[in-house]
Amino acid sequence: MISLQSVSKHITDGRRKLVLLDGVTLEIDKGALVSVIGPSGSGKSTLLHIIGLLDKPTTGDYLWSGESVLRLSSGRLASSRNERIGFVFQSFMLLPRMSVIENVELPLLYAPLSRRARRERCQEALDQVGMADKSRQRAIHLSGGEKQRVAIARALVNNPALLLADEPTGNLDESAKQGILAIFSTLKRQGRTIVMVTHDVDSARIADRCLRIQSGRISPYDFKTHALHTAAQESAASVSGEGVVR
Amino acid sequence: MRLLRSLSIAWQSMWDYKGRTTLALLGMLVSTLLLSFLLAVLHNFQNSVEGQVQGFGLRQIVAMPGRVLNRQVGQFDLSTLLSITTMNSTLTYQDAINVKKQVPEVVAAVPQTEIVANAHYGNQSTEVLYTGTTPAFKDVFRLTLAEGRWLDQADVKNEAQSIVLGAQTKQTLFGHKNALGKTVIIKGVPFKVVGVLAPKELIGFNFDERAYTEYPMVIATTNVRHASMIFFTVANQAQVSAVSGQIDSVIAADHHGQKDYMLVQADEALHLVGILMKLITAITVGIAGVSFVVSGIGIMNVMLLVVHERTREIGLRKAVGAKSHQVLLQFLAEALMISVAGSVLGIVVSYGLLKLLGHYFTTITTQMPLYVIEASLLFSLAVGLIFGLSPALKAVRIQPVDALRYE
Repeated sequence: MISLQSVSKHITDGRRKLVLLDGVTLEIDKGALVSVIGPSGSGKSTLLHIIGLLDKPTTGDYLWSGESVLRLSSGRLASSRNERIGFVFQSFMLLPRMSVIENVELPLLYAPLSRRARRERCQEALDQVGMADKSRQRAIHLSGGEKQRVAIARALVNNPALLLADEPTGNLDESAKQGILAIFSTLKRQGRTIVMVTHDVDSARIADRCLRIQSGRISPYDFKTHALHTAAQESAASVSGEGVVR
Repeated sequence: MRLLRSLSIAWQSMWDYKGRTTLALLGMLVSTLLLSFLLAVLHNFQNSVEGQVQGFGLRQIVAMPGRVLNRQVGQFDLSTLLSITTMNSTLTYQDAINVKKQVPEVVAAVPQTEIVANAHYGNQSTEVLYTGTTPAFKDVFRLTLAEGRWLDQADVKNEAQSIVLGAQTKQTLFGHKNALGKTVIIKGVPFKVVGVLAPKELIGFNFDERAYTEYPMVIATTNVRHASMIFFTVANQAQVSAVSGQIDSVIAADHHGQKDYMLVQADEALHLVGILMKLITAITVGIAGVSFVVSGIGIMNVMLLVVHERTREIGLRKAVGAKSHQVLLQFLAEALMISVAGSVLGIVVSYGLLKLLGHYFTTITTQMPLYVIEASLLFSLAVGLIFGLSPALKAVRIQPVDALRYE
């Protein structure tokens, strides 16, 4: 469904050139749940931002269903984010002054839908994460786990082709974390395409395949050996010296 | 539909930042109040003056002390107004008589002389404008009597020491008692009250605190020797300018060529009022303009602060699909809503103040002209757009990736 081809991202900090991503080649099929693990500063979030069309690579190409998205105008990119992608952030990114349902409704405000249709879709999304009964509460009054459920509902409300989650369990206690992972497992069974970035190995285990990112380079991650995948594990991941993963 | 949605989002945001929104809105309210109230007062004042001058009659020419130096015919502009030189009056009763005799188009020539004096009745006393004039004065000013009669030729001929009281003078000296036939003493002279005027309001004239008697009586009983003004009524309005020249020739001859007076036609007075109003309006708009700029800076500051505080929210909105123009529209709509809401409230308060003013100054009408409302709203729209643009563009320039990392 999506394909990153030799994607690199460089920034300059004063005179210093920083390499955030270094020749990442990655393909993600429709319906796959891929987790990306790595330490802080390894390039996880940068990778997620590029996949989520929030940032552009310095070099390389990004194909979505065979079409390059890098030449799209900022308006088309915004439309693509709205129609194709749902975001779940570590810090929830809920607007505290708004109610739960208003937070969930946010992506739909930029879609051509009537208020009634928007509210129906919000209720469905909240149903999916078990928060329908708290739709009128203010986001600021929710627990961490509840906030992340609402954030997932917001990411699902526009029925996106791709769900991107940046450390979705990072700020949660164990119980809340298990609840969120259960939701992701359900979404996986429903056939959602999900990319989840995390530094938590337990969270990463729910994925079909797991990738490791280190110093901007990507490689397969094996839970038992922490080594390169073998041909027998081809369904999970494969990698070349250039970071090709399939 | 999209505009409505932007307005709805903007409204919610304004509601979330009630305190700051209110402060910015207050600035706009005060600016609009200043503009709309002053413009409306000027408009109503001008209307009242024009109405009263037209009521006074456009066939009138007034001779008064003072000169406009090197005045060209037909020239009556701001520079003319500013170059009026005030002088002691040298106008006399005889000037009025001579004009009436020599200029047949003049149907009435009414001199007026006046001095502040004390009027006494019993143990009551009050200051009045002790006014000497002729019987035609009543018709020139279209005065109405509440009681009794006006001065007549017999009073003049017989030196009857008759007097007509203004409404306020009568009220002060007699209260609700009947004044007719009673004796009022002014400058030691006993006068018999023959009439009382109904209250009369005319901007620039005080009719109610006067005591009117025949002209020679005031000259005889005071050290005043000259007329403060002479009012001429011309038979035909179309002849006013030509007749004004003839009057000028007659008076100039009487004064041996000494030009120490000026003749003002009623239509010139209207023109003069128009010039003054334009000047005051320009000053008002200028001051209000400065006030609007200050309010605009207030709105801009509030909006910049709001954009800064909502950096993460803007990033989030962009991340979930908001396009640049939608973000721009949202923040412009917020700035516009603040400025227009402030302006509307300012107009409402201004209208209330205008009605209050009308309660105390009954000579002035209290309309809120449509052009004042339009001007206020246009000013506020311009301020909202101009000063809301910078914060809105700042919001547009926020990159979602940076905003999502922003703490």
